[in-house]
Amino acid sequence: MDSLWLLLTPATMAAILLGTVFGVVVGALPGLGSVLAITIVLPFTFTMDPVPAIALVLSVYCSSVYGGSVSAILINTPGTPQSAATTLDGYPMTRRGEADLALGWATMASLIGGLFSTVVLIIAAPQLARIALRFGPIETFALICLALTCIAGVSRGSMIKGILAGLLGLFLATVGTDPMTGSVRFTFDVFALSGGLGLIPVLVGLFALGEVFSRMAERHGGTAQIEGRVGFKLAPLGEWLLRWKTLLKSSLIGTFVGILPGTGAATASFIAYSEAQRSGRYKERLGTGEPEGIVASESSNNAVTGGALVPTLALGIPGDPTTAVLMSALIIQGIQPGVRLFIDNPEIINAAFIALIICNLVMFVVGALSAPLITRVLRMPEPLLLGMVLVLSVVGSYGVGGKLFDVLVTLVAGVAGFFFRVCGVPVAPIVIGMVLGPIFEESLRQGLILTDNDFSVFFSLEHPIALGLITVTFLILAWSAWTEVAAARERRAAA
Amino acid sequence: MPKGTRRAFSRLAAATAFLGSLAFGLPAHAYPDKPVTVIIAWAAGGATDVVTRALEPVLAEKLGANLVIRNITGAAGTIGTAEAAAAEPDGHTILITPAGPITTQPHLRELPYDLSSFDAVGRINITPMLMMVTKESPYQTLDDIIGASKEKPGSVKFASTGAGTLPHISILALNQAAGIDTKHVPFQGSANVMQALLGGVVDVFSDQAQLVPQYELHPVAAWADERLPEYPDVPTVKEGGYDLSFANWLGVFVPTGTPEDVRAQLEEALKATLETPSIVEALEKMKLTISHMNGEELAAFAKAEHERNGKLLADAGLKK
Repeated sequence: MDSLWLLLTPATMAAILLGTVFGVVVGALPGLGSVLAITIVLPFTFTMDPVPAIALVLSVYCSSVYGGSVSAILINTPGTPQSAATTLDGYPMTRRGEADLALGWATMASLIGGLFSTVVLIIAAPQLARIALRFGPIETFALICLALTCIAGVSRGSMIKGILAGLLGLFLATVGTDPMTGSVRFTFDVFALSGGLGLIPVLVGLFALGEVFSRMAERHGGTAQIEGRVGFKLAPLGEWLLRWKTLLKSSLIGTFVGILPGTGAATASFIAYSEAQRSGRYKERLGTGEPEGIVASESSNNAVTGGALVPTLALGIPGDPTTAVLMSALIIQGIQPGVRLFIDNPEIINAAFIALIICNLVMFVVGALSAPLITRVLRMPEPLLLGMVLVLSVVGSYGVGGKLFDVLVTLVAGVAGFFFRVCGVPVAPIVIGMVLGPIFEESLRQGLILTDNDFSVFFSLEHPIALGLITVTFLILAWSAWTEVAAARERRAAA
Repeated sequence: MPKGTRRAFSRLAAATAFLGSLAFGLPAHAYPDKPVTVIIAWAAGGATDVVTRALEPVLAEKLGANLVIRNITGAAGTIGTAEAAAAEPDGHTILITPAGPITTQPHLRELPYDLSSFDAVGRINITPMLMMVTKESPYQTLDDIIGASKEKPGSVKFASTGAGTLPHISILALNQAAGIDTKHVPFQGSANVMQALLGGVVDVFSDQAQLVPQYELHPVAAWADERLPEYPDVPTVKEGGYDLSFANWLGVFVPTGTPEDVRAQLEEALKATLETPSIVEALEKMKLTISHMNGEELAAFAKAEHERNGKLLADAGLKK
């Protein structure tokens, strides 16, 4: 209870409120993500007391993950890679004129996902952290294999194109410096390429610029502007109850993936989305503007926040760049995350837990209150909106690495994204490939070093977790192939 | 404003400026006459970045110019470092960097710069590395590690934070000095290494000493000439019979050709910054001990490291 009083100070509440507003804005801007958002507020925490400082950083963390969904839904441009899966159903809803409803689903799902994972964090952080330690390179490799099956999930209907797009993503991830030897590959003697192709510049290009270009083409053909409601609308409880299984499952997936170091919110949202496609109540409608898709993606990516804090706080091992920056904020405050934290500083930990709950609630309120304002971008004349997205995309892609080369990458990816749209090639698999590619390669090669190049050890009883995950992967693949074939047969029979 | 008045006004302004410059004898190019860009070749929030952001307000004040921090990331710090090397050598672009991009990366592959592309301004800190294992590890001493490696080559697994990094080069040096064969597993960063170390995937890691209390590890040996003050009971690798020392440090550099007086001004500002109590305290919080060197000392120090690392990499067959 003392911790609650630590929190209920004007300074802490102001920190949470400002942090949340700031996080939503930065998260929503394409290219600028959670890492950048936390880094920007980091210097402010230097002079703050520990509790408001933690509250500020946590609020920026949660709300920036949520913020990415706003632009994903409204302009088909995920503000952060974590929200790439949200575009699949969020944007079709906006096109139907239901942006207010889509935002309602996303905001509520983010809240529930965030709260769910916070509760898990509070109840079982030290115990769950031990699971993270059991994930060596071989287990990680198996998990990534499982995650790669989402490519099949999001490509339903155009399986071959989707798989090719996924392979393209995996290939793009290999450009640059070899993670094991430090030598460079596929750079064609372009020095700037030795740093590889950034995920953010490619993502912003494929989604944001691709969207701008194809809308420009549509305007040329004379398509009318989307007329949609503005505002914020929550679906009735009954609608939520119909989708509770997906909500729960996605929150679980997000929390679990968050706990495992090396992956992250983008991976979680794709896994949750493809699970919804496999088992959701409205799986047939997914991808056409079905709220269940938004629920899957948004509850899972916000559930990652609490999950990722498990190894960060309990072991001092941040699972992704975002929690790494968050951890450095704590260390500067003199709080050393790790095994001793829960014993030595229980009041700080409890304050952080309660702050996290409050952050999630404030995030919901800020989301709900700002939606009527933000949705007005849809009322903007389209040329103006497209121009704005173009400028933000260029700024965003430059901002990440400070390289003009990244802007070039964004432009090229934008043109490619336009052609992919024209040819009906899904772009989400490219993102999945680029997100998972580096971890896939690193864990495979580390595993091979450890096993003296004996690949069969990966599938042996020496690594039961890996064996289990690989088995599930094969089952899912077999199931996908079976349903695809069955659907094709049905279509032929009907015709 | 009528046209005539405006012309008269601008003439007056020009005359004032001219007289002003005569009166105070200002040189044509006072340094600094615009914001100074600090290039960090690593992501915002990383170790180098956090130190730089802590120094920034004081350094700006001592220098009398605004500082703009640019994070230019990628390829083990070489992309940002290359950008700094190519900048105008007028003191308006400075590089704050750890050892890697300037003392090891140029040996590993073709880069548009080398150590000679930079003039040294000063060293900020130096932290000797510790060799560490878990408390449950079967290898609690340097002799354990070397004995096991001799008995069964490749049985001891060393982690590093990537090819050509200091942790990796220290492994190469030990392999060579002790005539042993160890297994090298590279990871993307020290957080990933810690997970693997605590999970029992790898056995040994060498890096900054602060990891030992943070993860409750067992310090095996210090890569230093003398025992570390914080670890008086931990022997040095030198005591073990191998004269090897490795340390993490941060230095400030400018592109070669920066005028002498500008460099002197930067040196002075850096020295004054590192003597400021609030900065000492801020770096202490990050477990970094300030160990200032002036430009001349740093130049010699960096050159020696550059040569030694080049030799180690060449002996290991990794030199370009």
